[in-house]
Amino acid sequence: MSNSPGADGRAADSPDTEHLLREALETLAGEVHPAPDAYRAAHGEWQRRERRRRLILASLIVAVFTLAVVLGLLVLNHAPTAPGPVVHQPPSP
Amino acid sequence: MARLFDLHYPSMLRLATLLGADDPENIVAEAYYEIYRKYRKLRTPDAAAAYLRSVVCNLTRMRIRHLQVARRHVEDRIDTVASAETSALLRDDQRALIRALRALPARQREALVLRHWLCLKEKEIAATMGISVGSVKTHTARGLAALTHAMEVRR
Repeated sequence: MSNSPGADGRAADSPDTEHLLREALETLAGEVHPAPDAYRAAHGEWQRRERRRRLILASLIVAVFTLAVVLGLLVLNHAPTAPGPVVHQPPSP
Repeated sequence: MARLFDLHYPSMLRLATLLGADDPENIVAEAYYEIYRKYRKLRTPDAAAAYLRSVVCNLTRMRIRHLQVARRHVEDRIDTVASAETSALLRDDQRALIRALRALPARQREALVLRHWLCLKEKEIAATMGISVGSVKTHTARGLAALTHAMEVRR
């Protein structure tokens, strides 16, 4: 990999640059230190977001269900109440 | 989950920083939230590490792109890499190299950081970045050539 020529054919200087890059990245990475209570803070945030997500999902389900029930009731309410011509039973003797 | 956090959080935080994220803590927290939601679907701890790496790379790329768009619309420039470039521990040549690294396209920067800091194999880099091995080779070679050129110009 290190011997592969660059886009403009500079293969000779690549190992030097690679070495310098590794050093620089390691130095920079060495300066990054995680906060001691990072897990506690992150875990609290995950739980809060998960609760919020579930609450929104449940609200959506309830809203869709309620809408379907209301629409169904409205349709039934507007149906004609008079006996239809198809079902007609003669009075029993 | 706590074990996974302790195991990989520092390295993911460093990865996000090296990739040029201005808020690495938020990016890594977001990546862990993704894994927190899909924890039961994970096969092995190794899969978790690879997945985390991939999410951190994607989120960092999205964040940088967002900042670049924001810069075009806002006059005040947002300094994303000030902490990295003003690091007291870096030598002048290292600082110049990091500045050149930041100026590379996101894909090239990712390939170089994954290759030279995490020491991943090309196949692993390809899986992390969601591209082919051939593309990884191209990005790495072009990135390295650009860095070499930048250092030559500096001399």
